[in-house]
Amino acid sequence: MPPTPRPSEIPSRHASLTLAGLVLALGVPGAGVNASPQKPQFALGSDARPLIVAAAAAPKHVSFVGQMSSIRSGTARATAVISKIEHRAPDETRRTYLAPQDLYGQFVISRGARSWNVVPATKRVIVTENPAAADPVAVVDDIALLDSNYRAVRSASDNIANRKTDVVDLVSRYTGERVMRLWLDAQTHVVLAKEAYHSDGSLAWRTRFDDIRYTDGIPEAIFAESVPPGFAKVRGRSYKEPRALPSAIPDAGFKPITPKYLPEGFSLVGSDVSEVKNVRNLHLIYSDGVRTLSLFENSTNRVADFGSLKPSTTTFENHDAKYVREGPTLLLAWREQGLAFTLVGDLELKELVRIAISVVP
Amino acid sequence: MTPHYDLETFIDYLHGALAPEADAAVFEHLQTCTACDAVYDQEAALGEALRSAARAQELEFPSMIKARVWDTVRQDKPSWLQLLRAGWAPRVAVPVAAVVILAGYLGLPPIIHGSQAGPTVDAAYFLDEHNAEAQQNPFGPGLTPAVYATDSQDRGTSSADSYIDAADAATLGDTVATR
Repeated sequence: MPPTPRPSEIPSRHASLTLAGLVLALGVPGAGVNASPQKPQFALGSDARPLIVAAAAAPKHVSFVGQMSSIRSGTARATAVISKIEHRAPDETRRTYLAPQDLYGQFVISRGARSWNVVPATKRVIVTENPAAADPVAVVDDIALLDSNYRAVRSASDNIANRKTDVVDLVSRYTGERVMRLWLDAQTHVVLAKEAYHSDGSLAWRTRFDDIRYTDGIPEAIFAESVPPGFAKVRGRSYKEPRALPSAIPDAGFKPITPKYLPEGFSLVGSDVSEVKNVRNLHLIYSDGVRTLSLFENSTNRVADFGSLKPSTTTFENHDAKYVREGPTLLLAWREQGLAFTLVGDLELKELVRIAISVVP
Repeated sequence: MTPHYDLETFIDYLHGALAPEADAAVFEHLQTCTACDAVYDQEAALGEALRSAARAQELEFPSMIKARVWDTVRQDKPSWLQLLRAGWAPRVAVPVAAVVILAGYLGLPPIIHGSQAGPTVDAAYFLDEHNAEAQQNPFGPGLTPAVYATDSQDRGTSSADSYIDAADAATLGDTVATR
């Protein structure tokens, strides 16, 4: 096991928060949300980093039942999803979709890395593995990155689902823009609502509990992985956990190319290789702690197949590229130097194009 | 009277992130200002306590740091001599020579012209791979229904199909265009 870095070796200027995150996320006694009966009070405008760390750790300690609405906003239309959430600490969650109609009755049981997705429309149970979802180190990395790139400021008090909340703004250290607002339960620190904004201030997406009830009495049967009569159990996607060690990065069969330009605050946080339709795809993952950017590369001689998605075209440096927007997420695909590239992220088109140009300058 | 410094400045000071002049000014200020010295001591003690707790857990090196090291290594481009040497390595030179001879024998097949249609990957697959990563962020948008399915029968659950109508979007305060 690699050694724990000495203080002088830690590159993050806010490494203390990284460590705070580690302590909380990994459940060191005395550091949990419920461990401190004397909760600190945070004045308006004060540094809200401890609240952020507590919010990230809260689901490990608190069980609850509630109804959540989510809105993902695109340029011309929005998607809305309403679901019932049943969460039992530390890592069991059942999400039952209530709307839209084509999702009604579908539910997903998540237990650590494993998801059990019951789809009435196709009478299937799809079992998915995503180890990254249960990786506490990845969560701590996200918090450390967030702290490096954003100031967390407690801006107000509010009420969400009849619960008193601390409102925390995440403000970019580079542009001064508010990119996210969080509503944290003042008592449990569970995130009751969150909103992310585009660079022009418009809403990118929002999630919000319409009601929530804290309880330790959720029946075991709620999280039972059973196959309903007449349903077929099928193996779904098995996502690989991204690796960052040089020796652990799988060979994609070609030399990877990385972008020379990234928006401020973004850095490489992981990579993996997956195979679909006999094509090996290298996935480079970048993050600034709030937003995630993916760059996919493969050696096929065609750009991505957009299927029922309706792409638009753009041109840069004599390359014809296609792009499509899925809610706030933009996908840009093009080919050059014998490789097919696909960029995906919650960024503006001009920003993705700027990154794309820098891939092969 | 010398103004007091804020916590952000002390955090930067603790991590050696200040410019030399600013670093010296903070150092000098701390010698005389008991209030700031107390704030500084508190931040330093907090960091040390957390580091001690982390060491006690024998935690693995954070993957983000590994990623940055790896990124730096990859950006360290080899010299032209190293490239030349690598290019002439038998494991590369022999297969290249074989391909050239074979291509000449077969009359430059389509591989040279690049005209053949090859396999391609669904854009929805990339969206799902991306979302799977974004979902692990505790401050991300959370679980979103999958777009891509290896079996086309599962496409009915696509979030791309679940767009609400423009009329409904208007009630949500969005800018709406006709579909």
